[in-house]
Amino acid sequence: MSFREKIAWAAFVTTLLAWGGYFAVVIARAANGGTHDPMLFWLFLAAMIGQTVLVVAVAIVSAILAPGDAHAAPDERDRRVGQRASALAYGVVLVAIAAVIVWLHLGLRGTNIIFALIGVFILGEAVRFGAKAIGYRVGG
Amino acid sequence: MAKQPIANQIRTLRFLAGEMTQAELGEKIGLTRQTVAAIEAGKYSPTLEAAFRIARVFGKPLEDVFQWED
Repeated sequence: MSFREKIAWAAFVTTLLAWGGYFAVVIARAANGGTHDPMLFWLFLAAMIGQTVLVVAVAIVSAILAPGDAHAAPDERDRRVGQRASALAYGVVLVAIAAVIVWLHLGLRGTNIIFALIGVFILGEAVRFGAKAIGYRVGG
Repeated sequence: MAKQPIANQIRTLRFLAGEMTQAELGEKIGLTRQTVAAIEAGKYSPTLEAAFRIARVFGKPLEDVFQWED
């Protein structure tokens, strides 16, 4: 597994774990009283910092184990895998934005709009990282 | 995953080139070892430029390295 594939898998898994946990709490709060809670801000920071630390840790360990791989410039396959993943994520984000707009007309209000938009962004990133990781697995 | 219609002789040509490693071939043409492995296994079709570079490393015409399979 190449350095870039390891990073893609690490980013994908940590996105699911960190932001899945974050949105589980947000959705629970939204269903039980509301999302006007400073705790959610700290949870947001924790998810962001936690994910960053985990991905950086994977990158450091991978670079130590295979320094040549880590320093190799991206080649045509890396670029193609990245372009396909970005294109797929863009499509998913467009559909998700449309869903949020529909939801606005069905009663989405206040801070929940912000959480929905954060969710769209995170969904897009999860799809991008996941598509990248799978793209490497299947060959490019 | 759909099977790539392009076959290649890279493994054989590496063997004939003194058991050249995938990493060595990759270094000569500016690709990573993993990309060379993916090309060799038929999982990834290289760009035309990369295909010509590979053929040039082995001193062969392109069609001796890559074949279109119907």
